[in-house]
Amino acid sequence: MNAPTRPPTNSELLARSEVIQALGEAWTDSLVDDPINRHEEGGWIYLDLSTGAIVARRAPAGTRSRLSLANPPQLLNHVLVGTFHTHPNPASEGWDTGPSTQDERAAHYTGVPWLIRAEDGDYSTGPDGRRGELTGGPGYPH
Amino acid sequence: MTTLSPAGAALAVAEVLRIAHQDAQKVYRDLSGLKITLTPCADGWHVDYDLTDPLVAGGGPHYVIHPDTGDILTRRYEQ
Repeated sequence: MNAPTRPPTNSELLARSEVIQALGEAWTDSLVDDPINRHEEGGWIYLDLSTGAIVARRAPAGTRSRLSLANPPQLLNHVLVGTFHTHPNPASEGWDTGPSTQDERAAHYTGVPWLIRAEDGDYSTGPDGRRGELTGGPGYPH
Repeated sequence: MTTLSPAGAALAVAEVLRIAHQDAQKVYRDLSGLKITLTPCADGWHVDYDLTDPLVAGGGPHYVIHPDTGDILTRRYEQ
């Protein structure tokens, strides 16, 4: 693989096998079929600046309707290009499955795409790719 | 206590908040860290619960409550 020249867009991230796997594992761990213990899971998505490979790291488990994505770990020679999390609560119980107002606000605040897996598919919100491209520090570009 | 209310409303603000909070507590269980806003509007009280930490994914409930009967006219649960 070659060194990347720009960060991936939302749709490019959602098509990457590493992201699909991370979303799938987070969804499984969210215990969506358990009405008592279901909860949000997720983490951060990084781009390897040498190879263009995508790497995912998990955040501590969240609660029924929220997950902290503060303090992403820093990986050597990688830059943060997105976050991901689950919406485990079903529409049949009155829950919105898409990005919340807070998700949209937070994604724009952090400056990277936020990817979401819900029962009716995958969503994205925020900028269409890391703000400032590959410049700046390794974490959130804000 | 504030006297703000939709025109002709019978319910006190505290009662509107109690109605919303009762439903929100049942569905969300944990309401800590949520900012609550009550807004008198033409269609009733808008009661909105919003997260305040900019690095937390998730959401809170949003209601429209009838100013006289206290019925929850619409509810939306964000996550």
